[in-house]
Parts: sequence; C-alpha cells; structure tokens
Amino acid sequence: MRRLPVFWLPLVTAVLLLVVAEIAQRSGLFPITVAAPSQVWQVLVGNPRLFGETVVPTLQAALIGYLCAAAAALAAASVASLIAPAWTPIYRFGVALSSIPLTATTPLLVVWIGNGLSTRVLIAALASYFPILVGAMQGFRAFESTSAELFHVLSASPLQRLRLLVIPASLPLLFAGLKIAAPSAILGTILAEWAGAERGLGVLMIYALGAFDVPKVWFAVTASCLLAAAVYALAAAIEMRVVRWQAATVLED
Amino acid sequence: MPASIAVLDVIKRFQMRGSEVLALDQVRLKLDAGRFGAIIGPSGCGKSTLLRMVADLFEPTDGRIDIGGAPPSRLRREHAIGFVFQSPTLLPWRTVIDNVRLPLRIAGISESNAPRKPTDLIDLVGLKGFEQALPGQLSGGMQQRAAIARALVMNPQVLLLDEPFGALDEITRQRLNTELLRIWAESGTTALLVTHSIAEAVFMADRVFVMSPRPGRIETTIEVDLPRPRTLGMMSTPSFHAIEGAVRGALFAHEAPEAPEAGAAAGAKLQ
Repeated sequence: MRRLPVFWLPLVTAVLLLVVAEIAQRSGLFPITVAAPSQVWQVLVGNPRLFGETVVPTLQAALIGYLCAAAAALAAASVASLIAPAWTPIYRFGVALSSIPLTATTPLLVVWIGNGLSTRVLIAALASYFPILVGAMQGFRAFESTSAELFHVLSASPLQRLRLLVIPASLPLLFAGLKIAAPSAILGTILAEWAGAERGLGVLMIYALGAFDVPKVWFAVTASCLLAAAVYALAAAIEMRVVRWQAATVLED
Repeated sequence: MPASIAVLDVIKRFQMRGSEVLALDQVRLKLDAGRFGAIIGPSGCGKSTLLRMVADLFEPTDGRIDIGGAPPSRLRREHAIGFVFQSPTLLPWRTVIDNVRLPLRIAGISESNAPRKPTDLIDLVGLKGFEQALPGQLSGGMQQRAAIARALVMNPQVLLLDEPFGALDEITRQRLNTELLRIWAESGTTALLVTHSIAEAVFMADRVFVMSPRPGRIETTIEVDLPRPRTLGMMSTPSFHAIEGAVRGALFAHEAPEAPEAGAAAGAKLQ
C-alpha cells in the first residue's frame, strides 16, 4: 500500500494539473501567455529531435553534477564525522557555497571556464551540494548514544562501528538530503544553460522567449518540472529499497 | 564460566563546567561468581555510572575493578560482558535474529561456532516466531527480551543490567523479572542489576547493595536468603517483607524521621 503513492503521486498530480490547464485554456480562462497542454505536446510531436537536443543534455549535466555533489558531500561529511575540529568549518563552508547567488556568478563562470559540459556540471553540483551535505552530516551523528555504548561493550572496531552502526543510521537523513537536492540539480543546470550553452532546456527557453513561441516556453517548463520529479523519484525509489525498516508496522503490543 | 565481580575502593570524579563533581566515593562491592547482585539507590546516586565502569565504558578515577581476576577492559575485549540497557538499543534495520547475532558478527564468530545458538536464545526469551520481525514491529517488552538474548549470545562471564525493565508497565515488568530469573538460572552467569525498586531488588538478588545519594557510596550490603526459584507468591511472605524493610531502612537511614503529621512535613520537603 505504501509503495504506490510515493511513486505515482507526483505523476498523478501532474496529469491532473495538465487536464485542468487544458480545460482552462480552451475555455479562455488563461491569457495567451499560457499554452494548452495539447499545444505543448504538439511541440514535441512536431519535432521529436527536440527531446534529444534539450531534455537529454540537461539531464546528462544535471545527473553528473548531482552525483559529483553527492560524492563531494559524502566525503566532506565523512571527514567531518571522523575529525571533530573539521565539523564546523566544513558546515560553514557549505553554508557559504549555498549562499552564493548563482544567477550572478554563473555568467562569470561561463566566461571563465567556457560554455562546455564542465561548467553546467559545476553549477548543478553547486546547486545540489548543500542539502546532501546537511543530510549526510546530521545523518552520521543520528545513531543513539546507547548504541554507541553497545558497540563499545561489544568491542567493535572503528570500521565495524562505521559499517554496522553509523552508515545505516544515517540513511534516512541522507536520503532526505538527496531528495531535496535532486530538483536543485536540474534547476542549476538550466541556469547554466541560460548563461551560455549550445543545447539544453535552458537554451530552448531563451530561444522560445525571444521568439515569443509560447508553446515552446511551456514545453521547456514542463520538461524541466518532469525531469526534476524524475530525479526526485529516482532518489526516493533507491531510498525505499535501502531504508526498509522505516515502513515497519507494529505486529503485536 | 561465570566470574566474580569485585569493586575495590572506586572513586569517580567528573569534570562539569570547570568544576569537579565527586560521583562515587570509595565504593566497595563483592559478588561471587554465578550469583545475582542488585544495586539500589536514589536517582543520581551514580549506580548506572558504577555499572558502566564494570562494563569498561568509563574508567574509575581511583580504585580498581576486578572481574574474575582480570580488569574489565580485558573482559570487554574478550567479548565476555553482556550488557542490557534501559532502552532496548536494538538496531532498527536488523531483524530480531540479526540483532541477536550482532555480537557474533562483531567478534567474527560464525553461527556454528557461537557460544550459544541465536535461535535457542530467541526460544529461551520467548520470541519464537518473531525471528524475522524488525524491532519497530515489536512492543517494548518484546524488544527488551531480544536485547537480553543478544546480551547472552556470547555466553558472557558477567551479565550487567541497567534498569532493564524500568520503562515498562508494572505488570509486564513483574512478568519479565520472573522470566529473567529463569533465563539467568539457566545461563549460570553472574548478574548485576541496577534498579530503583526495593521489591525488584529483593525479588531478584542474592545480595542487595544499597547506595547513598551523592556522592554515591555502598551504604549497606544486605543478603537475601530467600530460596530459589523465586516465585511471585514469595513477595507476600513475612521474610520478604522483613528484607524489604531492611533495604528501605538502609536507603532512608540518613533522613530525619517523619513527623506523625506527615502532610506538612512532606509538603515542605518537596520544595
């Protein structure tokens, strides 16, 4: 019973909204700046290559950036939990990174590094790093203090403590961070594409806005929403496979 | 092999916000191998601290603890200490049987070489049929049973119990105490229980160590010569009441006798 809603709720909500938007547009409730979902669909059907030219490059950069951010955040959180004095600096550095106004710095980075994949990956990683870092850092200290005492009495090695206690106990918070960060990676990539790229949803947005091609703008908007939801769903799906004990129901009292 | 426990003139000081607090002062305690001891005292008297020092979770500031002729650190490294916490402290992502197996896993012992079979222990604590359940699916009492099975899987020389049923209701607690005595008798280990219930201490133990409040000291040691196996019926016998009275007397030895018009005096004391 628990599986279905988690997977399908975002999709069902999206479909419902599409139906409402279609009806509203056809009955003239929306201004001309809002496209009907059927018009948006026509954009893709009329030019199937658009998918490969926009959605795929954006998803690619976002996923690589997201994975880089996850790797960097996990490494930083591991260092923070192993070396106590490093905790506060690592946290503060994360706060500083996340408070950078990417809208202002991204064009500078594009000029500096160029408009290649690495820039988009970097921006996606910057946009998604902090939530993963917070999840991992809080997660690594989420075990109960008596559990730590138990592992001491059982004479566990530091590695056993890490593998059997610290990491499993961190998973619920770690996945919370991963889920929050997933849409940020997509939005970060689009921002980087705005600032300069050859292909991608951000490029399509700029182009379509300039041409006042309303259905294309809405195609880009819809596609980026679905991408963000898809990356979120991926993180949630992995979480459900890994963090099973949270679903426990009481058998007997 | 059960081991004797000897606490010899142990002093424990803690640093708290720059100032030093004397938690335990010259504590002496002796418990023969295979016996059941109970430490009783008011909240904050340091009885849990004392038990944790026996388990090598802390070291005494001064004095010595001796378990079967060895320091606690050696027993701990030999995986020979069983500890049951007030909260079950099960790992929520491991099934009941995997929680019971955890000490084996950490000691690097295969199930076939286990000092005690996890499945037998689950049977012994009355959790047969719940091997594959997750802790979150069990009631508090059942979780604590699993914790007891886990503490026994290495066939420990000493079993240390820190108010194991303190968070449970009176009825469950009484039933689990009776069962714990059965399990302990079957295991043959030395047991040391921390409690703040007079009746529980007398019902469970061969020897009750009465502690005074801060700084904690062993005020008196009271032998409980009630026959075993203990039954709930014994709790209403005159000899049980007499020992209870002795423990109570020792616990309140230093307090001013209450005036007959107790209401006003008690009210004043509460403030």
